[in-house]
Amino acid sequence: MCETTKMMDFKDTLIFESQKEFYDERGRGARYRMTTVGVSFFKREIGDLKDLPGLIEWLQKNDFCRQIKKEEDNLSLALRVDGCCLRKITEQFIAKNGQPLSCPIANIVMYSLELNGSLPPELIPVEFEGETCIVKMAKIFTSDVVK
Amino acid sequence: MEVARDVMIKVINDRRSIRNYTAEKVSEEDLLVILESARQAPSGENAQPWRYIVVRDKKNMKFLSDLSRRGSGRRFTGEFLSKQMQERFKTLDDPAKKEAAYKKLTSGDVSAFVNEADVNLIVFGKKNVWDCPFDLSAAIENILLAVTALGLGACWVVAPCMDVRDEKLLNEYFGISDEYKSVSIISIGHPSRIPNPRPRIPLEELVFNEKFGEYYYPKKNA
Repeated sequence: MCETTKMMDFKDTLIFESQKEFYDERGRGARYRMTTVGVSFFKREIGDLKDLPGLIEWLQKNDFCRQIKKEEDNLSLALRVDGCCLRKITEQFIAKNGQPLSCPIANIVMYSLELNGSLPPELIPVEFEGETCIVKMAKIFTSDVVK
Repeated sequence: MEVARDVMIKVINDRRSIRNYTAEKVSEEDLLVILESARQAPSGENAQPWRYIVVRDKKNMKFLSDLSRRGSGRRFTGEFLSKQMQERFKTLDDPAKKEAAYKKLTSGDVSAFVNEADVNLIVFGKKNVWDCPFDLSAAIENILLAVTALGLGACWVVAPCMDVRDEKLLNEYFGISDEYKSVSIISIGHPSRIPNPRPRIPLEELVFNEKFGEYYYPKKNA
């Protein structure tokens, strides 16, 4: 099958419109129904999702992202994602002053953390710095966060 | 009929989200009235997609409590880290009350009380129905009103099913198949404390005349 640029653009538009329709139907809670989107694909393609550094390397090597930088502390994990293959979809949300409804890169990282014994993390609204997505997640829940 | 009207309005106004319960049991008679009230709710095309699991077993209640705690705690810890929670409470002036609210929410305690109720109803419904979530919401409201009319207390808790990852665990644990969607649990018991009513947005700000933007009721201070 020939995947022309037009066809890729069509698929991106379909994904955006589907997510937008879902948001319009379900409201803000829609994002909680999207926290596993993409995981089955990476399970199939990569197999071992427990190795987080290996997973990040795989995403970069296979052009899912140009670069992912990881910052982590006891409470949270943040990814600075450059050159994401889903960026065009994200930009359509930004253009409508919205948040992307799901981040499959975050979903697979959250799943990997779970496999390493974490509770399912909570994805915080994505922030943007130019072309970079800052994807942050709370790894644990605790009232110690209140200082 | 005036009596029915007055009673109905009183029940609606008296309903609260009850999170504190005595050790007294909910009788089978009362539970039957509650479930029968749910059965009488309206549903699109009379599809009646609702199904319920009655949970009283301590181990199962503990599972629901743990799942609810982590669902709420995770969400609110995220909201605190992203400053959404601070925005939500910005009008609360008392710093001690503010901190207490932050701690209660981020700890997950706000939803973990469910195992202190005598009964939990898991509310789930058939996916292959046009209006399943709306139908289930109507049934839940009937449950809450019946509970209030019986002098009992209940709380509508979505924490264990809101995130698809948690709902999957709940469904697996209770053997709910993929044809169904779990939407909530309803904790029911004898209230040990009736909280004050929560503030309500005045009707003047809620209702519009013929089209959105023009208020139906004049503002009282206008």
